[in-house]
Amino acid sequence: MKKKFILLFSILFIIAIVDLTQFSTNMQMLSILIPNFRLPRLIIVLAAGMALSIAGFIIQTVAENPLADSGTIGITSGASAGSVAFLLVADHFNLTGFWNFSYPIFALLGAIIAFGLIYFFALKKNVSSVRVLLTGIAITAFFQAMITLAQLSVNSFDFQKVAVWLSGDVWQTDTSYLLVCLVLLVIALVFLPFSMNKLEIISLGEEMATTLGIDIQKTKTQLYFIALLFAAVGVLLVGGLAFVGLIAPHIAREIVGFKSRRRLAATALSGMIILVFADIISQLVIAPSSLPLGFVVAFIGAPYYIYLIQKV
Amino acid sequence: MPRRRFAMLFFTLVFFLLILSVLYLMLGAKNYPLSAVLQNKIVLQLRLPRLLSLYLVGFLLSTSGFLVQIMTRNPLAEMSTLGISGGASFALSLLLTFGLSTNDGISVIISSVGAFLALSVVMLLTARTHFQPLKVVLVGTSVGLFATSLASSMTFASHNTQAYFLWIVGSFSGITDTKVILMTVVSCIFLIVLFLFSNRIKLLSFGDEMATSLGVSVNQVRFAIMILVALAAGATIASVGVISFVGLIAPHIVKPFARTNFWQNVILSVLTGMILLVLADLAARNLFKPYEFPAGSLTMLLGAPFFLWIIAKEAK
Repeated sequence: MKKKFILLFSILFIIAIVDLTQFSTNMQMLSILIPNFRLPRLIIVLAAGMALSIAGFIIQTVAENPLADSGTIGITSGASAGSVAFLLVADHFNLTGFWNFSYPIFALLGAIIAFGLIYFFALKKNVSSVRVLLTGIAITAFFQAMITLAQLSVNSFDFQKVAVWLSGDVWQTDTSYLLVCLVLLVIALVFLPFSMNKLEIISLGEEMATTLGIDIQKTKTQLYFIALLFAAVGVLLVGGLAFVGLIAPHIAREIVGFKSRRRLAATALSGMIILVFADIISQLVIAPSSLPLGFVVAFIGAPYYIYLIQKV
Repeated sequence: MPRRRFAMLFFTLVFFLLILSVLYLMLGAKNYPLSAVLQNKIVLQLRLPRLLSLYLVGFLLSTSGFLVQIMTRNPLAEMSTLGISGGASFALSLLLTFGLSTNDGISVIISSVGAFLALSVVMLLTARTHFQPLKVVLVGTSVGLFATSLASSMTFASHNTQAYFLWIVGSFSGITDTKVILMTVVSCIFLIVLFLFSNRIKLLSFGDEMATSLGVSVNQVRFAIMILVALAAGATIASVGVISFVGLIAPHIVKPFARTNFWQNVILSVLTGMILLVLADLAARNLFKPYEFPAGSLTMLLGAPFFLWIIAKEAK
């Protein structure tokens, strides 16, 4: 088991180095590029990979649905719509600097609204996995239409920015903004050890949990809320990036098996590896310019998702 | 339903559509009184072709939605939920990427081919699960998403993002006479084939075994429907972009009234689809003057709750 984790860590380390250097050994150029551009980007990608994959892990476990993650049940689009709502407000009143701290609040609010919808229409009623996912698609369509409408109602809005909220990319490497997001991620991570026991009990099934004297509804809601926090951090960092939270837990299960704690750690590592790897590809494919990260992830993610649907 | 009731409904819808159309011609960036509408250049050269394109798209979307719903026995089936729109968008993004014209017959054919390929992929992938309705839609939306990501990447790499985005989002603002003519041609072909196959399609709705025992080649009929829908998708998406959910909603509104009567279903769905689209574009042009937003985003916004409602019904 230790070997597997050492392997994951070393893979992550190696591709992180590749992402920073991008196969160039020109030290003079790198000494400018890395601290100013590539390192902040790498930090964002790592944090987002971690946040999105942990969110996916929690949601899959609690919803008992192998295809659920913050993207497929519509939470990502809700958080994106929340962020866009703030963009509009900021654009209208020329808010900058200090106001960047409002982004997380709006993103979290959007995520909570989306979660309210998915909970009310699907999760509450114990419906089939597939129906939960279809409800997620409807919610995503709704919020994406909102984002499109918002984007066309403001002239100064640029299309690249909207592409971020619809498909995901690194969009903001501003230091103070990054710090806010990282603080939020740390807060979410602090909650994590306390919720691991609950997560393990929930994954034993409802009857078992009830005999152990756990209030299932309450526990599930708490766990979902932590997942929302992670999902919102992910959206703040890379917008509406799909599939990472979906795939990472599956890869982790293949590597380290079912034990919750191990699987969670492996999930976070896999999520980071997937995103850094996608980032390398997005930088190299049409160099010198770069593809939005979300597209690259979708190329890997969508076929895998279709493969998983066949198995459900 | 009895002839008399059908006639009543039919004329009510036609009347409603007429009223909306007159309003559509009158209102806009500049409003004109009814008396001036028919002599006005702006109305005749800009608004009238656009109104015609709304009719044509309404026709193509509703009939296609109705047909794929019969073919896959799936109340959620529609161009966007089966990945057909995604396939057509991808084909068109190739045109944009290579800087080719998107305003001619070739573009319609190319996007139809893309639509057909995407639909075939979805059918192949879901054949093993015997076309379970909910799973088909999941696979369809994923295939669509994949195709759309490809399309976005292509246009992004060739710096056409803005053109692609504006166009794919389903707006009637860029309509040209050529596009109206192309859509008219496709609609005529569509109608003729629909007439030829209508009896066989009716039998298809009784189930495969029944249809086969009555001497219908089920696969042949399926193939014909796929070709028709791909053509319709190609023509509409090449002309106005992706308009989601109209093809889903219109047949559903009509079904309780028309029950199982094929032609009544088709005719009333078409009228309903047209009314929905004219309403959507009327709002899109007039709500936030002088800005216009794409009618497609409005149908998506209203279609999403409707989609939820159908899922709930289907699961029961």
